[in-house]
Amino acid sequence: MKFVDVADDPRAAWLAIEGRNWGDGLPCIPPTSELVEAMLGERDAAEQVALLAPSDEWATVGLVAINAVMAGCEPAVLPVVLAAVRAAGDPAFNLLAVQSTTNPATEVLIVNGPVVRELGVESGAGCMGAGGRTNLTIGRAVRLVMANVGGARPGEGDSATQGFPGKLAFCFAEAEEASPWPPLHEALGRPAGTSAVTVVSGSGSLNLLDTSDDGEELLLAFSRAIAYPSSNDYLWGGMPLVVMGPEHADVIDRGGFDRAEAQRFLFERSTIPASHITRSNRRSFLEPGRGELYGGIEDDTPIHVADRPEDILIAVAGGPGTHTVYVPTFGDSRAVTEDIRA
Amino acid sequence: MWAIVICTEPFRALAELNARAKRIPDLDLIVVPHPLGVRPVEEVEELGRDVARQIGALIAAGSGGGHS
Repeated sequence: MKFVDVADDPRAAWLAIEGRNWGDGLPCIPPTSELVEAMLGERDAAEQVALLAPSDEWATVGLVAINAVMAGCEPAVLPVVLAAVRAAGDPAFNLLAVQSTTNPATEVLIVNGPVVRELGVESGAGCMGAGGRTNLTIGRAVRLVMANVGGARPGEGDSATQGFPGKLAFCFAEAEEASPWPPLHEALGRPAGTSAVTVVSGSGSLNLLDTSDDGEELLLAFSRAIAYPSSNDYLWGGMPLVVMGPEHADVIDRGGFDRAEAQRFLFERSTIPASHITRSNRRSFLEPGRGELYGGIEDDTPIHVADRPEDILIAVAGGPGTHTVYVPTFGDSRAVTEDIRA
Repeated sequence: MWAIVICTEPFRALAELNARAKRIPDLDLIVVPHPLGVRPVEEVEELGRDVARQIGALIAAGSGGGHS
């Protein structure tokens, strides 16, 4: 562990962090040994959490704790950050590509289970955006780990052409009590009553405003919104995320769709003909990646946003209002769910 | 195994980071201009020939930080 002496002044400490390229452009809490020790509690700082890319360095509990302090986390949320880092390090997530790509890919975190209430992870109004200290500090801590341990700094290990603000922090809880369906982590195989975080390689977000009170009509509108030809998910077959506001989820549920039926509807109705995809993208990405799945790709081949209906993830979050958020993904990456351990 | 990496200029830093991470910091790296997609085919072909010449020179010189 490396110690740096700086003036006893918040601004000087922040500039020292920025000057060493350890920050993300926003003010940081200086990770003093006292704060890091408080963050760690009784945990073993040397314990390995995940092998990160492109640096090929291990994120240890101690390194995660340092970045969590810098991000402004309370010690109680460290288990969520650790679980998210473990998930991002799972080979299925394809972290090397997610971190290094020119796409604006980042770790989108969806928190489920009792821990949501215990820690105050926001699932309601504005849960993805401004405010929500718990959400933002958890998401930011994960991103600082990815940069400082994983090596994903812009222009170096992170080649994102533009990036997007979600690369600073993108974390929210599912509004389980407002959802008509079982929680996302249970749909992904976790036992009821447990806490987990699901990490998705989000690459932007798209607001879907719709006042329809017809579930099928609403799903059809969503299907059409999802279907854009320059989407990575069509090129690779991804696990895109549809975050329905509770009002939309209610309309769709009353329309007779459970989660699986909604996933199948979206899967079947959001196809685009291969001819809508540029020749270059077909030749470079679609045909090498998914040609075998389709048994060859012709102009009229209907291309799906994912390989299977259940790969279209549906979560419920947000406050009042007729909005859903579509989160397209890096495409060549699987969503990974990790248990949150105390 | 002998490895030579070809990348365009903006990705030099990423390639070097990956090489250091894989403990082969002297990996042979051939860097070409960016972007390629907007250049005339003839120019890209000439770049390709130049890359081939560089690869040949590296092999002839017995270089190869990419040896493992």
